[in-house]
Amino acid sequence: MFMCYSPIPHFLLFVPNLELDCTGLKCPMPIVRLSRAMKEIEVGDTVTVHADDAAFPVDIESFVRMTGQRLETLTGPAPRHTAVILRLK
Amino acid sequence: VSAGGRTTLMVHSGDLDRLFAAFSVALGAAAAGMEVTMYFTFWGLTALRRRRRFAGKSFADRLLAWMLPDGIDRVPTSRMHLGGLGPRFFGLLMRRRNVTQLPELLALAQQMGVKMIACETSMHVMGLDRNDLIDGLVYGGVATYLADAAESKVTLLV
Repeated sequence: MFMCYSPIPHFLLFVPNLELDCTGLKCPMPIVRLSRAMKEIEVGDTVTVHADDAAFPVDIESFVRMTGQRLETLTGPAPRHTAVILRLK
Repeated sequence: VSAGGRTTLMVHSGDLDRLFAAFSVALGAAAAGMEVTMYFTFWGLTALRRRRRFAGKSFADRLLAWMLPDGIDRVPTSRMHLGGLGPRFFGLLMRRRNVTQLPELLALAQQMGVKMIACETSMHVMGLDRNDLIDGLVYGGVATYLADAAESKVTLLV
């Protein structure tokens, strides 16, 4: 499964990126770690999150909608999910 | 990195499973940038206890101090308690399955600035004073809770 939400895939843009490995962590920890990472990066940078929690793909979309960031890509297949989130504000 | 708005939870239960749900939601909301208030009343207060202390207490209060769980790592489960086996069993499963346990969730909630209010009236009934509870709490009553709940987008009773 590959979903791309932006017109240009992030890997073509050379945006500063922070890697975050949440493999093995269960809800709510991936979101908690991600929120900390979002504070570390600058506006316009991205975080790449790796997680294998079953709730992660649904949660990440809700998290991004709630916090007003942008989900660039969400790739599977389950249980290995990788999401790229762009900090907009 | 903020969703704005406030989430308020009234934590009435002192059961492992319910506290787990309460702290998970609180952490999720805090992670999404919401301000979070948790109002601990009655059995919920047992989650905020330090180890039991008997000095300077009346007979009834000593009895309560002895009967109630002393700390978030010693709370019972609401079902399948099995005389204390249940919480140990669930603790083991959570450790094995890499689910974050209550003491760590509580510590994280405090780090992330979750406002925790201890209900003074319940404390009085349960024979608990401020020395019996962990640091970093706000002490208040219904008005303190309502002031936060009134401006919340999410309010829950656990």
